[in-house]
Amino acid sequence: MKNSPVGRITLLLIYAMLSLTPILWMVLTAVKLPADTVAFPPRFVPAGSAPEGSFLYRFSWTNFERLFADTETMHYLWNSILVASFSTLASVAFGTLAGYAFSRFPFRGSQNWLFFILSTRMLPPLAVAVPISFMYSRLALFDTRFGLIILYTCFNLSFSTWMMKLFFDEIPTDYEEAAMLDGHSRPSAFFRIVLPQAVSGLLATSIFCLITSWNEYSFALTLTSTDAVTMPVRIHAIIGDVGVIPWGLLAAASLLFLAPILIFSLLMRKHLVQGISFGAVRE
Amino acid sequence: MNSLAGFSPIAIRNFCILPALGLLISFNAFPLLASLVVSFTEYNPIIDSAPQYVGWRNYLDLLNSPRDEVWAAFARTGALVVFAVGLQTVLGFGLALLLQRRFYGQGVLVSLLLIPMMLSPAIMGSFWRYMLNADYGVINWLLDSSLSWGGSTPLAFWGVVLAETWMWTPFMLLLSLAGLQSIPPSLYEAAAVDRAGAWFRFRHITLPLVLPMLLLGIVFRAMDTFRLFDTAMVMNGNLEGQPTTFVSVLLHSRGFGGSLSLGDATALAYLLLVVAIALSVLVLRLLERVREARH
Amino acid sequence: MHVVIPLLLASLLLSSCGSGDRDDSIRILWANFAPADILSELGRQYEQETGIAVRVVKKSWDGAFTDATYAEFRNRAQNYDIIIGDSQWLGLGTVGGHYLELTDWMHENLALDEIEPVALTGYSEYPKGSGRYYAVPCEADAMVWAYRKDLFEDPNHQNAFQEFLRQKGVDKPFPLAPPETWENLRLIAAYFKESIPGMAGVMMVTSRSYDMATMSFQQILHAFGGKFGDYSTNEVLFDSPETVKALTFFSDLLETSTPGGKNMGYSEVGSEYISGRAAMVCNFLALLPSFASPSENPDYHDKTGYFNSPSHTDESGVTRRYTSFGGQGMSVNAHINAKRQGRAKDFIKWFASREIQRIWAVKGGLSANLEVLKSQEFLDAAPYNHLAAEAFSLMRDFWTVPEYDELLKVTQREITSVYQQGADARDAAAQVQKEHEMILKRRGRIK
Repeated sequence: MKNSPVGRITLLLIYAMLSLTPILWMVLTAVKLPADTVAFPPRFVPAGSAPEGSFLYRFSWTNFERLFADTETMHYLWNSILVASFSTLASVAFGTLAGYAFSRFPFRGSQNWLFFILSTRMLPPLAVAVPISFMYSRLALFDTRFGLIILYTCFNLSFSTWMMKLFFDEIPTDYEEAAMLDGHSRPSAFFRIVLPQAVSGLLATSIFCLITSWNEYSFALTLTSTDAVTMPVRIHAIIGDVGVIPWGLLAAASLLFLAPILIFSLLMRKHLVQGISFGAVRE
Repeated sequence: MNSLAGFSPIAIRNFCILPALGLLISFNAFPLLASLVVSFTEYNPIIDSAPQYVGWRNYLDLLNSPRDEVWAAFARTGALVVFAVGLQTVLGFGLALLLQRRFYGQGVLVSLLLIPMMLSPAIMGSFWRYMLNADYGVINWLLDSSLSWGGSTPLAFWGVVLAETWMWTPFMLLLSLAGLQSIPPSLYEAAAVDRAGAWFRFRHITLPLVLPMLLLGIVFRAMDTFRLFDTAMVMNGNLEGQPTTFVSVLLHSRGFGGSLSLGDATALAYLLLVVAIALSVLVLRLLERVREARH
Repeated sequence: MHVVIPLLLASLLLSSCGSGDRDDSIRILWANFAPADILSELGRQYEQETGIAVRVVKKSWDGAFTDATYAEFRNRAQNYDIIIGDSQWLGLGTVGGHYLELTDWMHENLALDEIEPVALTGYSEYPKGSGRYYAVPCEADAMVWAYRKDLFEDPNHQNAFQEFLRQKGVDKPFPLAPPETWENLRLIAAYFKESIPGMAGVMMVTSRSYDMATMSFQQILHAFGGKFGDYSTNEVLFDSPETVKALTFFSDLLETSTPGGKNMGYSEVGSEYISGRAAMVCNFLALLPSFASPSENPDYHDKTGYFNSPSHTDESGVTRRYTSFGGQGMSVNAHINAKRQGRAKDFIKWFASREIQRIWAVKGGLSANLEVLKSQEFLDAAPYNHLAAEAFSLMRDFWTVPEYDELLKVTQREITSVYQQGADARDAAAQVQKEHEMILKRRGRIK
């Protein structure tokens, strides 16, 4: 490990640049006219006009104007916001309760139930989507936001239960027992004593549930058709809007959709490792 | 443990656990079990009024499908797991080694490197499709080529590998880095006293101590890649017999659409489940081991 | 979390209101393209006249439109009053009981003799020849060609083209103009491919997705004398020397395209054209508004000409000329209640009246009404409208049986394998024949 930090940092910077190229390209594409998005060689310098064979393109806000005027896409964005936030709220709430119970009241067979809960997370979404689509059409849940919220809640529930159990395991039981001796009921001890100590765990879990349901595609594609469509499904479908492919519109819509989650998760970066390793790693 | 407000611990426990279990059973386990019945029928709800019992025919048809489409889909999925996860591991671990020693601005750099894995695969896949366009894609311009990355060409497979590697290398980077940073510096100091070479330190200190985390990451990625749907679907559609027709994609083409045959699709879903459950047992074992090692 | 919770509660309140208008408006399912916008406009006029709101829900062609329709069928849902389904879906919607039969109603309420007969059969009748109607023609559509007039009319190219023909040993030279025959079209395409670097001679819809390659190919198939089958007896007639010739020709023609040209979707063809990389492109009329639009096609909208698909003369001297059948008919959802069905029929009757058809056509819709097609107003409304009347009489469609989707998937796979993977055209034709017969036999459509 004697090599100079300059060499290492240069390599890292090169990779970072390559890895950010698609995002940069998306930003440049979002302010192009359709004709300039399909020019070859590609044009990457925003300008007022686009002489043939040059790298200049005509800078334009058209795509964003079209996007905000498109009530249907705005409706789908609203769907995404609702579905992601409610399913996150529900899965964290139910997961916290279940995680607490598994942590404090282990019972015969509770390991098996924990295994069952985690294994539902590992199911291929498409294998579940086929029977669910059949069931949803009978229950009138097909193409409803509520149907998606239930499904995303289930999908994230296994994760949140598991994560919260690990967090509660680390909080000594002495505190809440002392509180209960002081006259608190268990629910009150849970809310006043235990939960405040698990805030960082709650945050880590919520971020993960939020990212997962915000980005989810398989269920949204197969279980919605008109009213409950979410943004990932809509944005891909933009490719099939006919006439000419509005790549610029697609880039603009993508940026609008990706920006909030990007900012949010960068702010919460230190919780990411915990989340992606299912709590196996703490920083 | 006595209860004070009239709730017995058992009542509290049940109150806490039952909503979660109830949801998972009614919206995951139940539909899967119910669909087991459908997998023994022929049923297209668009034109048939009721399912027809056909015994094991759907399963036999899958195993002897024309052009071995089902086996081919499993084989393609396996190849994707090997290549995509392999690349992610090598790149992620390599980057983590470069990041092992702290330097000024490291935090910002790591944040930037992590961006791809937070973005929606469906949306980024759609954008990769744009960048990989044969006639006007920026990738062909960078490579000074006119390669066709879509449809039935073998390159379509590598397009998905590229997009997946771009997206998930940060994941392996993050897990590798967590493993590296948990190695006590004293071990390296002792090795320096013994004048051990760089390779020796890597082979006998770094690798063994990072290995559990690395394995955990690999198995996680393998499982996710095994059920990959969104990236492949948005980049190259759900047609059968293409280099990107992975198992989940095949399932989508059979279970949704005009010629849908629910019996066929549910039978395939069960085939997929068997493999997925085997993989998840592996994940859980590893999770336990990593956790025990670190506490 | 302190900020998030009140936000969520507020959004809960907001989301619980609204979107309860399903019962007093007419909901129409269609694809996301220019004609659907025009129908929305007409819907506003209908609302002014009758007070009944019309909402056109537009779904993307790349999967979402078919997915939404199949979901509606599968769930026997009542989300839509009117479905403007693709012409091939007629069998599926009819046999599955999802489209309301309109035979008597159409005879009583519409002037059927004003409708182009090819369109009436194609969009409305199932099974073909039975005289039973399940839809009213809405957007009639056929494949036509757009070409770069500025290149064709450039004297340098005209001279160089004659030189090119001499080099190729063509015994009957012809001018650089919209071609009369498929062979001439191929020669013009080859010329542009050779003479301008990076330029494609032709761009056609060639992707394996949905019906794309088949739509391009079937015009050549029918012009060369081949056919998919006999649609009245369901006999499969695909495997023939004519089919093999047509397939080989199609594959050769695509050699004058770009690397991406062998895997093109409908909208991708448009994208290539506005980038100036194609001399001639083939697409459906309904997709041409983007070509003529100065905002979407800033560089070439005024340098574009249009022509109908060419003909082919076989060895025995028979000349055939066909184009591909596109477009959609309006069907009433059979699962909604009688009151909603009545309301939907009233709207369709209004829409099919000659006065509204005239407005529809002038605004950019494509009417199957013969009187409207002939009117000067329509001919002046868009630079390609003069092609419509002739094109509609040349249309031929794919299978419309309920198994059309299975048949289509086989056809798509085999046709594309010829030009994408170099498969043998004879093998492809034989394979389609074999699998089509198998599918139709299994479902009892043939013995």
